[in-house]
Amino acid sequence: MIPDEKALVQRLATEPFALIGINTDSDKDVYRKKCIEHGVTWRSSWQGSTRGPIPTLWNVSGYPTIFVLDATGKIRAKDVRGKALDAAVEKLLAEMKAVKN
Amino acid sequence: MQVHRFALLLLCASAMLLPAQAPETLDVLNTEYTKAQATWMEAVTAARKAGTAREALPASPVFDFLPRFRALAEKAPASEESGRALLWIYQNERGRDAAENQKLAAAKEALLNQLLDNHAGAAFLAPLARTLARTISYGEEPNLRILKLLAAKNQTAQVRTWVLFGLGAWGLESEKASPEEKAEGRRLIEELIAQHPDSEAAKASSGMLFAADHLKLGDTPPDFETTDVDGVAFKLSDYRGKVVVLDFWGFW
Repeated sequence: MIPDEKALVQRLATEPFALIGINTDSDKDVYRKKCIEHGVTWRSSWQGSTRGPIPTLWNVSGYPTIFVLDATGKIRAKDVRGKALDAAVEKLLAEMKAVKN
Repeated sequence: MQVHRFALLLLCASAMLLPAQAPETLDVLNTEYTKAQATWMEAVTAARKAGTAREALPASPVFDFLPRFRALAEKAPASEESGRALLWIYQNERGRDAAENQKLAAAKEALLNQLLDNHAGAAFLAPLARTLARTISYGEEPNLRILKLLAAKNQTAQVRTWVLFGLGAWGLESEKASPEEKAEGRRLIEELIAQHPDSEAAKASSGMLFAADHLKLGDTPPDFETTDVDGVAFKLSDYRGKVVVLDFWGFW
């Protein structure tokens, strides 16, 4: 997952796009070290465990769980990975451009 | 010292002469099995570390214990002890390879029917109800059929909470559920939370209504404020105007 996401973040660096993590690791130092190791540059909410407040409220039981939101904050795709995730994001970016033009 | 040795000898001799052991009980058998399984797990872990081939790993103690659980199940078929033994067999019996497992499938179904015929109202079915409820999205049939049967025949709180959880989850989350079934699913989860608030099932279901109300395709989830690893606060709504991938993850 991380290599795909890293590629997505790099490719869309100049687009109106953001990858936001809801991270469930328990050790801050290990998390920081591994972020450097794996090239994770994007921001994550720190939950401290899979039982943190947001995973609990959002009923998340499997990892990774992914939601794709459009520019208005609406959920447009769920649980897409790899190429399907890329396609879902590209489609929403194209929609934004179509609205502007 | 001499006396002790003599006493020990006597003890051994009398043990050998005793006509029969006390009848086996399920609790004793369960304890023995749990121990045997722990020992086996250790042996497997050690063997794996030593690079033993998969085929040469020690066999699970399940195979030695199955006849003993079977004997208990057959002793007094209407008794709770027999039912609990049947449940153990249903949950633990497995073949030694894929072909054997395939052959077992029909026998397992028969076993399950026998269990439900004789013990549908028993509280000891709670672990079965729990498994069925928690896996309802993977195997809607027969999970749905059995949970409906338990809904009709089992009045114990232990089983009821998982029936509500499973049928509620199915109604709320399955694409196959009709609008009426969806509404019924919501009602069941609300009943679970209202009537059994401290149950494991109620706790596990707390996010289900939120997801049904706010996390479907086309929904706009409520905003949240949170902090990153450095304690810096941000909100989901800070990213309005951008396409956002929200990823629940961890390195672990």
